[in-house]
Amino acid sequence: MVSIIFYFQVHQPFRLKNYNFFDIGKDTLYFDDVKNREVLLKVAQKCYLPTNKLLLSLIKQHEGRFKLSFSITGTVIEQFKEYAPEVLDSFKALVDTGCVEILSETFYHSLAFLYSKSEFIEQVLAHKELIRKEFSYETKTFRNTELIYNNALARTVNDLGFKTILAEGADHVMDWRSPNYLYSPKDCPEMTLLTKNYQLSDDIAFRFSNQSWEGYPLTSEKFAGWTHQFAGNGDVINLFMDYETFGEHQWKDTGIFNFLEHLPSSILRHSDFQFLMPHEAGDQYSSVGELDVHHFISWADEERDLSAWRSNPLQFHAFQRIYALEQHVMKSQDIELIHMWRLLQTSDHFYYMCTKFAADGDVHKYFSPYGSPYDAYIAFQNVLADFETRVANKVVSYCG
Amino acid sequence: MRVLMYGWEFPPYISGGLGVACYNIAKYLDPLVSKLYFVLPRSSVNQDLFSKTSLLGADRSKVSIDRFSSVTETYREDHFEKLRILPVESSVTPYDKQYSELSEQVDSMVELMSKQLKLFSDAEEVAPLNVDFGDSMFMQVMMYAAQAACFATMYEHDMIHAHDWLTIPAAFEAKKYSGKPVVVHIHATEYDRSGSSMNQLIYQIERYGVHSADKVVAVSHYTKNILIQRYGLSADKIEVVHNGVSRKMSSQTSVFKKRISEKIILYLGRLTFQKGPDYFIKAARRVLDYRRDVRFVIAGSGDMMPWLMEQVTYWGLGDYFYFTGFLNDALVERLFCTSDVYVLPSVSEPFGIAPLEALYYGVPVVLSKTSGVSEVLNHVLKVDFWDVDDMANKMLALVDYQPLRQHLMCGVSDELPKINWELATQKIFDLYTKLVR
Repeated sequence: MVSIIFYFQVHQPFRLKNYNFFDIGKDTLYFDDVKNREVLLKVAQKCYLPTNKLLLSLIKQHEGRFKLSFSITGTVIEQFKEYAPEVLDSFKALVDTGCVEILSETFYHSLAFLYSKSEFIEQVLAHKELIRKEFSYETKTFRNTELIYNNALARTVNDLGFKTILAEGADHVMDWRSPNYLYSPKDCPEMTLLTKNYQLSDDIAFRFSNQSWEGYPLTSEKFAGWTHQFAGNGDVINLFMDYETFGEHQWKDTGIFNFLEHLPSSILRHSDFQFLMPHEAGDQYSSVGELDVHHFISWADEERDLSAWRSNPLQFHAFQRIYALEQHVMKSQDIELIHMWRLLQTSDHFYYMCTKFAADGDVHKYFSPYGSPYDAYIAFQNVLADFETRVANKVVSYCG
Repeated sequence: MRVLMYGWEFPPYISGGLGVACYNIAKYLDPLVSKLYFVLPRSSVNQDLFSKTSLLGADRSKVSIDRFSSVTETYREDHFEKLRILPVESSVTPYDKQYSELSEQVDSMVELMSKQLKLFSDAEEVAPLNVDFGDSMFMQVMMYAAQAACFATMYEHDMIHAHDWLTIPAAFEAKKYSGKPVVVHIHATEYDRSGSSMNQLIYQIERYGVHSADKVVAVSHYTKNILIQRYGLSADKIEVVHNGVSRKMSSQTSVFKKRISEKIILYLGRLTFQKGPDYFIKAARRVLDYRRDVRFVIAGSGDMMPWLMEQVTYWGLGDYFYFTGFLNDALVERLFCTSDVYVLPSVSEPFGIAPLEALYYGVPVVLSKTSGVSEVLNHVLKVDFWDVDDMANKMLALVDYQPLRQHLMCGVSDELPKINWELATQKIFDLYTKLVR
């Protein structure tokens, strides 16, 4: 039996406004509320609402045989609550079917693990609590921001009690191995590691509407046929992608919804195929071996490493400056200040500063609200300058 | 490939970027062509600068009054009747009045000159070198056209190449003789120079030139768009060839050290409306509201200079601005060496070589988005010229954020070598080859 495991990433950052030098010390509102609301409502209309509706009907139609999972960040949940509560309700309806798993991650979609283990754990626990509160759901599986992963991360997550973890099936790590089996992280034999089949995942997420691609046009029958080829030589096919693929990255008129609508039945036509939620995989299959991942991998860009967020001096400087504040911010015990500091850790801020102007630069540009990576850096630095003053004032008053 | 090229400026007689561009185009085309005849208004001191290039002075050629009159006639109002399409934008400037005045002026000039010429000689042929044409640029352009076109009969050529409106009439006069394809190279348009208060006669000559040319070379996509939108030229007729820059740093660079601790933010360029110096001082004022350890140097001269000086004094900020007037190369170099930030606030800049020079001296730059040079550089900060707050914000970011400065300069060191004249002239040469075939 081969299992298809779907995981969809749902995330929106709190984008900063074009905060300039003259705002420092005067303006404590860092975020572009107008833009954030506008983007959220647009994506809700184009993707979240119609896709949730479609998935709900598919789950009902297949009577428990169609399953999937979501990772929904704390920042997007906060935006749902503020701007579009009906979207949050539609996700709740999906979770209530019992066929949808919610994964754990850092509340703020941050790269905290790279800088502070204690901060990372706090953000994971805060997200777990949020999911418990909003969905009455107890998470069992973990995926880190942008599938960033290595041995040390797996161990930390294992210690937190998670039984399953997700990672990119990056070529330089998989080597001759197939992503279509279960692995276990180094020195965590009881934990399940699921690796993304990036070929098939990206066929949907990136290539679906590419007319110069040899697979174009992609129909559900054709795609199901590709997965069926793994009957007998694979246990799982891990299809991990941004949820915004449906209706946002691939617009409605590309036929993406039609594709999704017929995908479950096309796949289930083969009697040896089923859908699973990530936490179920470990019960049905066993690990074929240990995967030793020393250096960080991720699902971003060609490199599948950290370079999207951390490859130029601007990004290093921004990280160094924000995490240097940790002690002072925590000492303030000011809940609002701590929350603000964490919102500034969201990975998107650093992604916008990426200066890889080659092929992937276009993708960065597509997502960035700024005219250039330098504008992103300048706004972030200006905000930090103001924030540092606020933290310093707080610490002084606290000590005094 | 033999090329007959028409230029207006050439070192050592230059007043701006056009002369520098023409010099470099000649220098780097020289190895590619079999012969390059470069025609200039005046005979040059360095006749044989490059091996296959001859610099020809139009003042050496003799033309008849009739010939001159006929050339002038070509560019008068009635001739343009057929292709006269005025720009769509309305303007407060009364075009028609301005146009008719200019046209009258031309008539009287022609008349006057004919009389003057006749005084010197009764002969058909005269050398009009010693005739003072007054201030009329237009008359000079016409005289140049009449004289310079004669070279088309004297030198065998396969291509005619004209630089800017000044030489457009000459190129088409030449084409009347030889029938060879004409490339019109646009370094700046009347729109760049004058905004919406364009000189209609110049606009008409430019319009006539780009429409009649076999191919038009624009120095940037920005200029290409102006040609499409304001001159009604079709996009497929235009080839974009970005200018290059050649590093000409002296060995003494390190000698120049800044003597003051304040940061220096530099404006370098003509002080005219289209270069946006008023936006520069407004942004500077924003910066000075915030902090006073910054000085602003305004290098260059132009009709806006008195207004600018008055304005900063009126603000009570005279101590923070230095107006240098026009500077020679050595002083410009010195200025680059002591500056911390260079700003190009142009309202309309077809290309803009000065920012590239600033970068070669290690000075990070803030560029107006309405400039050709911003198309070829990624590692710079870009602003809308009218967004004074953002311009001030970026000046301060470059002053304060060291990692940003370092990263920009590091990235730019990879970009600069790709902006060179070899590449530019190769593109021009390829264009010739296509046209001749």
